Amino acid sequence: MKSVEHHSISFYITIWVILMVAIGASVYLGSIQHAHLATLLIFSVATVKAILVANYYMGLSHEPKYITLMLLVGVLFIGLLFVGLIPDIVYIYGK
Amino acid sequence: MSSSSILNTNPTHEVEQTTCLNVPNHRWGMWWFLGGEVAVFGGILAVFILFRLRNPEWAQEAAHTLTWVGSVNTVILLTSSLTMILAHHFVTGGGAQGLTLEQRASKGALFILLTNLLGISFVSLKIYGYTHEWHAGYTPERSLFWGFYYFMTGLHALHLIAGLVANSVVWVNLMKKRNLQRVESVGIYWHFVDLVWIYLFPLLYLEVSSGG
Amino acid sequence: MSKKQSFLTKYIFSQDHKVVGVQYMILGLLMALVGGYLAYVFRYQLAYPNQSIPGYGVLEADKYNSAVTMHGTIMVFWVAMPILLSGFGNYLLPLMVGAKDMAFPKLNMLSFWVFFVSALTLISSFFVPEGAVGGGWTTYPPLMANPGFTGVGWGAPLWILAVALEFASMLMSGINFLTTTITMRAKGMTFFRMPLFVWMANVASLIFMFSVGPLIAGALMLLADQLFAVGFFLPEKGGDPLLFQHLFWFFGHPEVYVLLLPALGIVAEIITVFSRKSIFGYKMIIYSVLVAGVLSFLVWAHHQFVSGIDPRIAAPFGLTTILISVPFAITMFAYIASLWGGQVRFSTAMLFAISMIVEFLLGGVTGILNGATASDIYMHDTYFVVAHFHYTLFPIVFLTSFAGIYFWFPKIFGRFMNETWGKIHFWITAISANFVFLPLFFVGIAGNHRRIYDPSLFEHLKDFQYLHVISTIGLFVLIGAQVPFILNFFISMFKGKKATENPWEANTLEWQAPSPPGHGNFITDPVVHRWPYDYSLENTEKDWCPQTEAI
Ligand SMILES: [Cu+2]
Repeated sequence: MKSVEHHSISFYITIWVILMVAIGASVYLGSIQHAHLATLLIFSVATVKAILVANYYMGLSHEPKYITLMLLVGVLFIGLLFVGLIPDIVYIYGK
Repeated sequence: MSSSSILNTNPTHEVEQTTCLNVPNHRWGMWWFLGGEVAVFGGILAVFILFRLRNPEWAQEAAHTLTWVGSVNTVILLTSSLTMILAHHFVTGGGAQGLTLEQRASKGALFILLTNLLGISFVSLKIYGYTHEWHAGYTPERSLFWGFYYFMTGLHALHLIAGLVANSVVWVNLMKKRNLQRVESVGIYWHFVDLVWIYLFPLLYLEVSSGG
Repeated sequence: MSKKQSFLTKYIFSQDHKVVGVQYMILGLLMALVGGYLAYVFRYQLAYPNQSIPGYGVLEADKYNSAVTMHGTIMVFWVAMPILLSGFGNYLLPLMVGAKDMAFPKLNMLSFWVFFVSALTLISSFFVPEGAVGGGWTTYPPLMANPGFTGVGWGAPLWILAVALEFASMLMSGINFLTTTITMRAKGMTFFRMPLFVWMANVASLIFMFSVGPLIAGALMLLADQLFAVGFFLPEKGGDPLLFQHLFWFFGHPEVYVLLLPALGIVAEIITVFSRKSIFGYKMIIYSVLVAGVLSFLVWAHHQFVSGIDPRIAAPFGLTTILISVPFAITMFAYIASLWGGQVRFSTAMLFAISMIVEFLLGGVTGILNGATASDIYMHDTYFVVAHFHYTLFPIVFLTSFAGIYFWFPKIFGRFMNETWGKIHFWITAISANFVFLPLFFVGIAGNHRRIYDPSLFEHLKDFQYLHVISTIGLFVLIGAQVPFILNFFISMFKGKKATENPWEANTLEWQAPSPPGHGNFITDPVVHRWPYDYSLENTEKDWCPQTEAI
């Protein structure tokens, strides 16, 4: 098996430290009063965490772009489902 | 065994490995599998978010989930991802040249074991959280939020337990110095389960006070 | 090459993609017998209400519901999917790309056995207390979410379990198809030299992979509703029954293409071989199908125009529905253009392929009436819809499968099926199918709701009862026509005329392997020099040119 390019142990630990800090940030943001801002920030932080895990732990950053693209297409279709459901589930007609 | 050994010596197979973007079969397979999983969890998250938007009062319900359990479990799970990637790091030679097969396999096995211990702690803490919340009266009877809560975290936990089983199989392989490439496959899966939790955690445990 | 294999490892627990493919096909055909029997039972009831049905007895109303539900479920998930995608896909895909086997042979074997268990689970639901589920193949809540409504305690959870296992099995197949196509193509087999069937099987797998996830989630939520009364889909508990419909059809419409695309692939291979012409617009077909694949995720709510969805989203979904017929119209015209001016050889396989195109066109055209919101509101849930989707699915599933079986039988078993009996089978099948389904359009327009147990109870339907009788008699003939096929199939397996490597003078790689191919498929690794559709080239002696032939 031809192995992929390697990061060093310290690189993986650095990522882990960033993730830990991000968890702390999320928990703190959960307690602030400004609801909309907090929601926005919490999900931004979650997305940063997700990107770090996907790119460096799952190794997406080493993979051909096609694979990321394929996964994003899956996410996009779910996004379409989400949008299509908004009128029926959230803003119900006539209410 | 016979057919897979035929495959490994198949010349066309090797030709295609090089022309196909350097991604070996087991990783292609894993990514396709995750493509399907993205749709499963994506669908669940989408549905939950829609219901959450429909019911602003669920913010109060979310305040009753044990936030400390969720937070500690997030730490545990992300740490297990670190041990998992380190297992992969050592198994593939880990930068340091000249590690023997035995050394690579035994270091990998150690870190797989650590990953599983963290995974088991996650499940144990989850069970503690469930019993605590359930006995405090937070059952699906109370509100659909709790239906979603148990459903989503339960499905995630089942995926995690499946990951524990897969890791154990790989651990046995490593003890026998076999199939070292499998660490990568179970690793990708493990990180994906981790990734799902990254979104479940704020959705279920961190609802901001006045709702979204 | 490999050790001598026992019967068990060679034919039962085999990892050889060809054996797995044949296992899928045979199990699918057996399930078709069950589905056909159910159709016979409820069609008999519809034509001759409340009479004792030969071979069944009197059909009670609740058992009628079970019969239609299980007929739909079986035909879509346990006949169409395994035969078209898993059966032909497993058998042909590695051969067509020049691989020795699938990328993950063990996963492949597992996928079949998971499918086998799913079939057993489904069949077992007939025998549990209260019998099989009767909520319709779409299993809409709140009917399905609460055992109190259906009176079915065990059938409903078993249905969900069986479908979930079936989905898992199909996902495993899909992973194998995609990986094999990407990494194991023979030297020279570029993506645009792959036969259309390979393209179609892969696009179908992708569509399935992306669309089934939300329904898996929805099915598990439905299961939670049934077993623990959680209420995801029950309004009184804060849930929403519409949600399930959305999740179901977000999968359900792409699923139609999961079935249609492999069928179009099979038909493409057959019509080029027997019209001795290259396929018209190869790349155009591929791009059309890719566009249709994306669009298929944008049309799902056209199944829900009358179910209380927001009228504001009905219009865009009606529009996308009309749009999605464009790529398929292009594909159909490409096929007809491929036939045009060819030296057509009317073998049984070719006859089935042509009849597929003809009958599918009628199904497709009547679909436009359902896609347009205004007419659909009148047609919805009537026999018109039933007739429409049977006019699409019968050609897709049965006519195409028969075409494929007659065509690849010599490759699979090394012997031909009998052509005379094949033609008898063809003519009776293709004609009687119209007698079964054509009357249903008219019954539907007359206002016959599709779930009515006894049409004679309705004054406005009395004058149309004769149409139900015609349809049912047509079905008797249609089922009877399958007897020569079944006999032909099994007798030819052992007694048929021996086939050479390339009996139809075709170009694709599977015809370069021995008939039947041994374990590992090819004697020498094929090297590909051209696309698969070089027929009737100028300045050549023979009128075909295999992909392995150098330019
Ligand atoms: Cu549709």
